[in-house]
Amino acid sequence: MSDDWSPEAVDFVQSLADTKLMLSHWYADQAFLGPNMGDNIALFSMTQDEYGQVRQFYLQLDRQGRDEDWLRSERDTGNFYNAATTDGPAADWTEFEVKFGLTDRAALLLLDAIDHEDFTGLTDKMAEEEYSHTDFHDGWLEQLAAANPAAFQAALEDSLDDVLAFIGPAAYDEDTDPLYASGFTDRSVAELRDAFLDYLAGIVEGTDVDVPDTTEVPLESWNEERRRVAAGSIEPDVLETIRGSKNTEFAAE
Amino acid sequence: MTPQNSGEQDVEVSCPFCGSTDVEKDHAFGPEISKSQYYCNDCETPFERIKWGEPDRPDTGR
Repeated sequence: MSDDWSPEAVDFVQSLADTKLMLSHWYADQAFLGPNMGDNIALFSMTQDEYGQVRQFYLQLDRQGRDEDWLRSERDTGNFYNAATTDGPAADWTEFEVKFGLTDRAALLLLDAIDHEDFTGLTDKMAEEEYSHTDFHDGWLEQLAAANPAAFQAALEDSLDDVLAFIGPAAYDEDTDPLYASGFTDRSVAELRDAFLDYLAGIVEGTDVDVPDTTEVPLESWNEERRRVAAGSIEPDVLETIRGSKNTEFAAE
Repeated sequence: MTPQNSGEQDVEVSCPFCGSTDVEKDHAFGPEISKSQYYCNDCETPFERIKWGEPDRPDTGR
């Protein structure tokens, strides 16, 4: 176990972990309300996958000095570095798939870019789990874009800038991205954004959905810790749920 | 409406009980997301298939 992560790398991994924590929460929240039983089963499975990955990330973060108890149960909503798309629930299934499916894809790209010895093997296992997630989300996204293009377009316009802000600012190319420069990742943010937009173009190809013009994330307004431009955070009642506060009250000594 | 499942489109699936290939996929996701659910039209038995043989990692555009 090395201790050579930069402060930016610790923030990056916390943002990835917190985003997965919130994806897990919203997958569980939706798991009785999917379009059919098979989807509910898939959502429960994805809930467990994401939460398991979060535990592994928190262990890694604890070894880097970011206390696990603080991560799990002691911090306030403003100290969650989750993608802005995961602050709140989706209004309907199309919005659910667009904002959470695309955030899951963005998280996969960030995970896949980590090139550090502490993650050897770990990212392989996580990416194998993510194969099923992409299988699920891509199928639904392609189908919803074809069947409900207007609703899909609206959801995409609401979410795309926040998903891209989670990936990071386009100005972070191979010369300027600190994580790439330090060798913590092997793809710059600019390359990851291009990969994401190529993927998205493939999802909507042949449908009436257009990929909206994206707003370039200005470096000076991008929050490096929380990987977002937007203000806001998860709600206090959601915080209570993900902490398991009520379970703690009844825990046996 | 059900989701597509790109990973299994070209896979020939046979019944684990009678060997028949006269099977139908009921759903892309069975008791776990990594399994799909089938029905054998010959011996009239439902079965599950682990999505075996798909790529280990998703395509990330590398």
